[in-house]
Amino acid sequence: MAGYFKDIWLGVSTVLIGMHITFKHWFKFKKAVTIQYPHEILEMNERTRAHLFNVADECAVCLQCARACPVDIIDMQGIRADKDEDLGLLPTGKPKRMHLIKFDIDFSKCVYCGLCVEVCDTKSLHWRAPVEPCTFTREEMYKSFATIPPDEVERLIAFDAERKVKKAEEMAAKKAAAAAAKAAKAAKAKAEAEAKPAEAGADAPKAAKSDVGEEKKETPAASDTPEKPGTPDSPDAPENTPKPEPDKS
Amino acid sequence: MTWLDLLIAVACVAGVLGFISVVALVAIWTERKISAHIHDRLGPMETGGFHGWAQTIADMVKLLQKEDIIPDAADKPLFKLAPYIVLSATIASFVVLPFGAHLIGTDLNIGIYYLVAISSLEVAGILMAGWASNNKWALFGGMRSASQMISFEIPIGLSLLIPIMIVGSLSMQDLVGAQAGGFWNWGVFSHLPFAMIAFIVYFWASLAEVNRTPFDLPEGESELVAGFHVEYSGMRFAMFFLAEFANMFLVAGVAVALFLGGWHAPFSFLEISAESNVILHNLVGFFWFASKGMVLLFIQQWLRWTLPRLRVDQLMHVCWKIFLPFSFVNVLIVSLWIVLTQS
Ligand code: SF4
Ligand code: SF4
Repeated sequence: MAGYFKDIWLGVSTVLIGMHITFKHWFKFKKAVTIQYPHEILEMNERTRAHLFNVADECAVCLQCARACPVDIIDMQGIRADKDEDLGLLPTGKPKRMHLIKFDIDFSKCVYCGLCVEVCDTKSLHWRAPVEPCTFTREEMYKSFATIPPDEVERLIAFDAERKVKKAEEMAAKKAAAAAAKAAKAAKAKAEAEAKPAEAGADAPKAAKSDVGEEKKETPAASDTPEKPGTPDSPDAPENTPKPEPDKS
Repeated sequence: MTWLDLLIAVACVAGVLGFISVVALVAIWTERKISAHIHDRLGPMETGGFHGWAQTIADMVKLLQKEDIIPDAADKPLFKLAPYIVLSATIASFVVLPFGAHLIGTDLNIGIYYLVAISSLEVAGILMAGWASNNKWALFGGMRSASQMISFEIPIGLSLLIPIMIVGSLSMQDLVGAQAGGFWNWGVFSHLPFAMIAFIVYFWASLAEVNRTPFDLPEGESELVAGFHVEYSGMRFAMFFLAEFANMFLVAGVAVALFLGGWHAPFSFLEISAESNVILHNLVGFFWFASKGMVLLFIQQWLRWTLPRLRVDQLMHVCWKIFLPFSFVNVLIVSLWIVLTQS
């Protein structure tokens, strides 16, 4: 019987305690935890995972991000700088060698997976506030991060095309020279073969040797030209050019 | 029955319907705000400008436009009928609630008896809804609702018996009239502390009667999804919702009428006598009745956001082992008191 009344007392008193607690919260008038979102917006950390942003000056145009993107929405294009052009250093400490003429992300297709940010070696591509990705039109979702002005881009493209033509010409010339050398070699060999049955003449080999020497001299000359000062329009050495990709993607 | 009688009856029901709609709109808004502030939140803030006061109206308009979905496997006639039964039982109970000296649908001489009887009809509606939905959660909810409402009718009836015995009448206006002249004459303070105990038992049991937390087992959002009205949508759901909030006010109104002085002011100088101005007298009476009812409504909401839900066995324990013996002992003592003092 005593237990019965004790239970009742416990029930009543705990209800009163609970009501006291909720009453205190009800009329405390302390600042509610709610944030009235569109009217007040929380201050976000600088690199909140919200929106992608690329710092054009720090981008190496290595294309890693474009390759990593699972939905292929990073539309970028770069143009190799001139040998003597100084584009400053990348955050990795290496010199920047490429002009970033186009870096567009269509955020309406982005899945915000962050793979592009992870692969970026220079950390030029990063997450950034603000958190609202909403826009009124689709066009606004299309963001461009390249900072080079349009006329400069045109100049760079023209320059690149010119350089290509030049290079192609040079390549053709080289090819022709190589072919000529080959032909000369073949001719020499033939002459030698012909000469062998006859007496061993000293003239024919001499002539062939001088031919080969000339051809050999030409090849290094072609690859050396860029290093020579005062020839700004000279093409690059073919060995260190990953050039087809920037134009393509 | 003349045409005039019919017109008066229709006007009466329309008035009740209008009143309970307004009460439900206000009560739902306050429920949201109270729950929010108890949780240190803000609740609705935008709709209507001032603290989201129009949020409930917007929700009602939305519910009106919603499609009325009836499940394929439901018992269609019963399914359609259930919300009407619940709502009409509620409206019918309001008819005997004394809002003022003359603001009462009809002052039946068995008013309170009628009210208890007619509000039991709601159980049928809720059970019907649970059964006809052909959904196990809905059926569980309906069954729980029926069992708890029927169980709690007994302590409610016994506690209502106390003021009835003290006044000696079943008519609502007689019950209110006996409490005139200041708050010390109110029902709760007569035959101290027995009427007080009756009032507390009534108030708690009425929470179970209207399926409020801590006795909201029939709805049990976390276990029964929404209980008996889980399959309802659109206007039919709105009817259940309206009935629920109207019932909250109904039980609060009965408590006010029988225990808290009805439409009388706490001090008699706050009233306007019927002789000087009948209309003003009724309006002031209405004000006191409605505000007392609202205070009890707030307490119901306050309790809802304080207490967790009881288990079914705990609920029955509270009813049969605590409320019932207390009410019986109460009735015995008060009747003994009355017999001894009257003779
Ligand atoms: S976040 Fe993912 S989807 Fe978006 S641009 Fe980067 S890699 Fe592509
Ligand atoms: S991975 Fe980084 S550095 Fe490389 S292209 Fe993309 S943004 Fe530029």
